[in-house]
Amino acid sequence: MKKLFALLLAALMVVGLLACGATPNETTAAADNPPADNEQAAASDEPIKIGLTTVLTGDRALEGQYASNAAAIVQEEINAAGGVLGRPLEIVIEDALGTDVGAVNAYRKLAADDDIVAIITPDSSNDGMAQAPSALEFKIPTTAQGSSPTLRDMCNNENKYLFQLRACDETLCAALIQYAVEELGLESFAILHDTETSSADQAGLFTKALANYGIEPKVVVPFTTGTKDFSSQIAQVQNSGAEAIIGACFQTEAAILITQIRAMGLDVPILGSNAFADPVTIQLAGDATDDVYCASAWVPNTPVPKGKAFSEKYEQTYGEECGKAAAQIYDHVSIICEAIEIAGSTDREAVRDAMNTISDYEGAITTYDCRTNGDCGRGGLLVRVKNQQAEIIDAITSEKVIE
Amino acid sequence: MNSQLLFSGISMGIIYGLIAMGMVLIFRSVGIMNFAQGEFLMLGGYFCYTFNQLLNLHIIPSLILASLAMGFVGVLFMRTSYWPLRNAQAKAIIVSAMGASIAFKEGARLIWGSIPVNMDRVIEGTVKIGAASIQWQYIAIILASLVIMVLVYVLLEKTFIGNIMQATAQDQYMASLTGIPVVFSIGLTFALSAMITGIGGGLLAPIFFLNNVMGATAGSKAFAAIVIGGFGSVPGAIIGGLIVGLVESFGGAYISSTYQLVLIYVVLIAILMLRPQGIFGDKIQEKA
Amino acid sequence: MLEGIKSIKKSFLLVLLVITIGCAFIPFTTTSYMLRVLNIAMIAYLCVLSVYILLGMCGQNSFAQAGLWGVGAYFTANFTLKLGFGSVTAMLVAIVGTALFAFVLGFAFFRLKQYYFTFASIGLMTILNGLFMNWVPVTGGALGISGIPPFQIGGLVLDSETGKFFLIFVVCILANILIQILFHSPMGRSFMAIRDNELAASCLGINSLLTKSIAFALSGALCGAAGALYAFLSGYLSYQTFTYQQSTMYLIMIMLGGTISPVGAIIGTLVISLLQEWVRPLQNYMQLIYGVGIMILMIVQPEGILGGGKAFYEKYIRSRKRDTEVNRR
Repeated sequence: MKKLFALLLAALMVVGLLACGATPNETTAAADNPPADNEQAAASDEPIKIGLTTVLTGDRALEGQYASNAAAIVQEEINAAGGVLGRPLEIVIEDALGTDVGAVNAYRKLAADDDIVAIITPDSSNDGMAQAPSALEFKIPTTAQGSSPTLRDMCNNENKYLFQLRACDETLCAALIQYAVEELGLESFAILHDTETSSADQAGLFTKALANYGIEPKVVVPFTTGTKDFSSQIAQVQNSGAEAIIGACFQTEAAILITQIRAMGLDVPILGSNAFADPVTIQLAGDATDDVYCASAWVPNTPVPKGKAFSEKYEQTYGEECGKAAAQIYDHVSIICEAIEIAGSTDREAVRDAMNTISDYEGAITTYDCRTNGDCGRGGLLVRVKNQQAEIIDAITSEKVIE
Repeated sequence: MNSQLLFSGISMGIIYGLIAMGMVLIFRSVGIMNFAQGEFLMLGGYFCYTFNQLLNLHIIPSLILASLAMGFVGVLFMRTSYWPLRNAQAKAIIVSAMGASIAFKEGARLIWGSIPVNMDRVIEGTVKIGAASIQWQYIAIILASLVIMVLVYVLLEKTFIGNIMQATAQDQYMASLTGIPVVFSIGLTFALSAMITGIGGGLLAPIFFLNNVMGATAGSKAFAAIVIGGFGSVPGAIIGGLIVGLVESFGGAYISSTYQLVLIYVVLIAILMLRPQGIFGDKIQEKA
Repeated sequence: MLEGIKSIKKSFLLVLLVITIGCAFIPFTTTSYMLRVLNIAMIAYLCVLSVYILLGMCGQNSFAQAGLWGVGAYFTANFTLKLGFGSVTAMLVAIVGTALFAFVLGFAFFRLKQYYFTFASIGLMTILNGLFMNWVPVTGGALGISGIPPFQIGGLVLDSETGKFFLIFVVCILANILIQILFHSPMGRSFMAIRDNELAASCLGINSLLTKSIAFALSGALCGAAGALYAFLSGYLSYQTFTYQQSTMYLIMIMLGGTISPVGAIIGTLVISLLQEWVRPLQNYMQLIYGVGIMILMIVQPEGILGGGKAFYEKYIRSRKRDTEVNRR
């Protein structure tokens, strides 16, 4: 009896597995048939699909909220203007869950659909790097939102399907340091940074930029994501007697950090990464954000015409200020559509090659140059927060070096 | 620098102790570690945010209303994820609490969004004590925590309802034989625990800022506080919280700011090795 | 050990054969997406098996399994990429290294009884995750390690999803056979004696500290193998993968499947892994439904799906027997 029970169970399991494995295959097979029959009709109605992997649920869901909102706006905008190649655009969103496995599963689910032309990775460099081998395997043009220099090297060297569409952190960090040293006349700095990937990278870039002026940071204090009380970190900065604080972390940490620096009576200028002039940070930290300087890729009151229009539309539609993650999705989708138009087809290989011909595309955030895969974004803005508004000091641009 | 570290260590410690106290109450009552306690903190914060920011009430009535609402959540949580499993093995209850914790986090995200929010403080501004400066809100939290601790002590030790809860905690079967409605008593304990943690959430939100995952970090430190202080002991939870807070601030400044959380757990393991029952815990007898 | 091998029943081998033949067809009927989900599920299965050894057989609840999984993965990455060893060597090093690591820690941690060990394991998990994230020379810091080469043996490079499927599948089958041997061996019996009554077991002369440490080492070996396979499968490692949440997931899997036999581990792993993918179309609501789903499943089946199924089956058999007896009368 026991034997029968065990056998029954085993058989059931295998059947279940086969069934669950087989279903998606059948559906795609069914979907493949009609266009083969009447290709002409299909060409104008069948939507062109772009995949978007973003974190909709879990710890990093903030990014997904911006991304899915932005995706809805850009999809509507492009379709209202006649679509891509005369066909409607459809953005398919999959949840990357905020883990490597989740990001890869989402990617492969999209990639298994032959109609998907290109895929956008989540905001974190880690997710992009986890998805990179799959991009190479499926040969799908993939645009990465992550900013890590390691990811850039990967795009430029080993993985020709991966494009890093992101304003270059190296330029931004250098511009901020230049401003701090030359205009503000600051001479000693303390760096406070999150150990999470992009923030740790930015801290390294700040140190490198300081080294150009022969300045060594007085103290570098790392902390981990999710730290809520920064007293011990700020105390170290206070002890070092630095004239200014350089920070690199995400919005919530940035807001807590700024509030606590001010509460501990440190009235020094704060220089920060992207997140420090983000609308979320400013809304959380309020008055404390005065005298915060930031080399940001994006502020909601950007002077870039496309960005200004998008930012206004976003605020009208959703009643909240437009964050960087939203603008980034807007640009990614627009550039992919541009590449599809240039290629004149939805063939993945042709679109990939077309991406490399985009050399001067003006997006919402900045101008893009994709002749090499890494570091496609060409600049950002130097801003100062005053009265809870990001005031633009200067625009930062850099020329792309093509070897 | 040291006085600053001491102050912030103590104030964070009291906060961890407060959350830990909520966990200990449930543990003493049903012998189960509540893996969704951090989510009570987050929900309490969001209720308070709703009353304070969306309905424009003053912060103090908001805190009280939020804590009452949390009482209902506590009872609801007990009815759905503990009561049906009360006769099953302990691990089944842990798993169902983990499921509940995911559901709470995601539910909160769907209702209040994932953009972190801020709300009013009980007292604005900062105060300077010697070389250290400390936010008034921290002092408010310390005072509120002390009041809550005294109230809980009085409730448990000096009132009839407290006796009922203590009796149920000691022996459910015996308590039911003497005519105590066990489900009522356990429900009350869950409600009390959720209320305490919920107020903590409302007080913490202006400092930590409120999002749907704020419970996780605070919860894990409160957990460390319980284990260090001695499992199942209320004073132990508070002393444990203070130790965690001080290790965090001094360790972060003098040893390594990167490994702050790691340091706490190294201390936890060291204390477990030296004194497995924790500082205040009774030596648990091995079951024969 | 020999006794254990001899005692493997023919029925077990038969079941294994049925599963093997059935599963060998899977890669040819499914998409590469589903195949990756199954590959990840099988790796999770190895980790859940390790929980089975600890919890199901030995009665010890550990939350450090994802940490051990990570230790195995980083061992593999370092030995293949930085030290240039072959895949097989690296995998063996990962298995042995993780087992040794677990053994030493087990020796220290198992001085603690019951849930105090669980607390220590939560501490270990947090410490390991902190190291994965911040120990730059070894783990690459938060950025992680990328470009780990796929598994190769001789001239055969398993870089396709199907090839990886068979590699992981073979390891899973081997692990299952080993568990079955362990189950019937004196060692396995002493595990179960400790689970049922530790004091009585030590009265019978079982060295409970050593035995529990061995159980932890064996679970470490399984996690190490899983880690190596994960490194070969994904080619990229970062701290985001080896988290406390992942450890709790393993507990959820085995509790939902049932702790009475490794079959429970299979069922639990499949249910949770596939549930996660099935709820994908719900997008924003997926995790909510997922969390509620776990809760409901646990409440409906407190003994796990296998435990509940077994109880139901036995009840059915009993009622049928009663019927036939009544008829005979």
